[in-house]
Amino acid sequence: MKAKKPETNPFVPLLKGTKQAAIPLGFYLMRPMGENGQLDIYLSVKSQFHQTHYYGVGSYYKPIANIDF
Amino acid sequence: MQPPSYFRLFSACIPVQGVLHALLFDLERKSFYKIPNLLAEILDKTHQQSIPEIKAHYEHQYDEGIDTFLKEFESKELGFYTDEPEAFPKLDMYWDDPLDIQTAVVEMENTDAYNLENVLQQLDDLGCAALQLRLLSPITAQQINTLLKPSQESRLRQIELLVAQFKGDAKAAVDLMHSNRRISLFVQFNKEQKQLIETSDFVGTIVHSTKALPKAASDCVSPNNFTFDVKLFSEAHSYNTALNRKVCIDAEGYIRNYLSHPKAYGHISNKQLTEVVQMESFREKWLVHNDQIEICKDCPYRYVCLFNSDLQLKNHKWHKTERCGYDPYTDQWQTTASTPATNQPNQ
Repeated sequence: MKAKKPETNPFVPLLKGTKQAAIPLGFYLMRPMGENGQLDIYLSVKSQFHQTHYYGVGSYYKPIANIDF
Repeated sequence: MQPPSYFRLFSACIPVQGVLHALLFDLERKSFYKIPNLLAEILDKTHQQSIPEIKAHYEHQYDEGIDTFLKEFESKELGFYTDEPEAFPKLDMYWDDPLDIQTAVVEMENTDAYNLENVLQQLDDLGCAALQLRLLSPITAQQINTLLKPSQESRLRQIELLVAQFKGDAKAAVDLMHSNRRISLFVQFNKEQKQLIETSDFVGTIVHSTKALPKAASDCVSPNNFTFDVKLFSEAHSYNTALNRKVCIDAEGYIRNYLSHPKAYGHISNKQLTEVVQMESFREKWLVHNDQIEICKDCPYRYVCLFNSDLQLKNHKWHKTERCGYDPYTDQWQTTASTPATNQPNQ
């Protein structure tokens, strides 16, 4: 039988819910967005590698050039 | 029960110190508050120290002020008290983007000067996401449709269309927006009166302006143009947000960092954009961010503004060759349009 290629993607164990999935310390912090009652959700995961990943709500594009009109 | 001894700003609420005062930016709600530099310093300390420790650091001179401000920040939902400060780390200001080129400005006066279809194809190859197309000659909706046809299959997501003289009526403009959904902004210059047209029929905005569209028009910096966005804010810590990942082609077809910059990196007819954007000299100014530029480094707006001015290295210090209307040393807005630096005081 052909040997299975080892998993190299560090996120695969997380997705599979193995023991490693419990290692990152994650939290959601929800903040009301005022009049519209929208919720802004921050997900900050401080992993075992001490990397902080941020996912926010906001426009993707920056302005190109602001000319006077 | 003891109240929590640590205070944390929400991660998208970030204080920035300036020479006269600081600003507390709320990047999510797109607003900012003017605060004293001392308070920004105190807020910075909240990442390492508890409130009692901070009060002791200042020998209890500011206890009342610290309590008042922190309560105010809590009531404005800018921050919160906690006993678990390590659970709320600072936002990482590392920035990167998969696109080789994010934005482009292309100016056309004479459609024979260069091949726009070829330019759009090259921009697509570079992953360009947003294009500002400036058309300086009188043009019809049909001609614009023909020019933009190659963009319909491209990776471009947003097109700003600036037209010096649009030869068409209101219906033609609306139809143009309908058939080119990537157009987010369509400015028609030299109109008799100002007008703003926004309808639910299309996503973009049509603007009628009484002003002229000059060749290689410079940027206009005003508080209305500030961008409150985590991505831009973090980019501004390591890159020149205006010039980074941008390429421009002027009306004659010369490739530049920005239209108003004197240095050209070849002509689009005989130089590939892919080749130009890999040139070290073309990329040099991408890396010069506001913290490294004289005057800008003292400005509290330095992470939210976008100004395409050229840069000059004098005595090992970077300067912008144009001045925006804000003077951080007096906290005054002088004018909304950028002007050559040589005409401005307080250089």
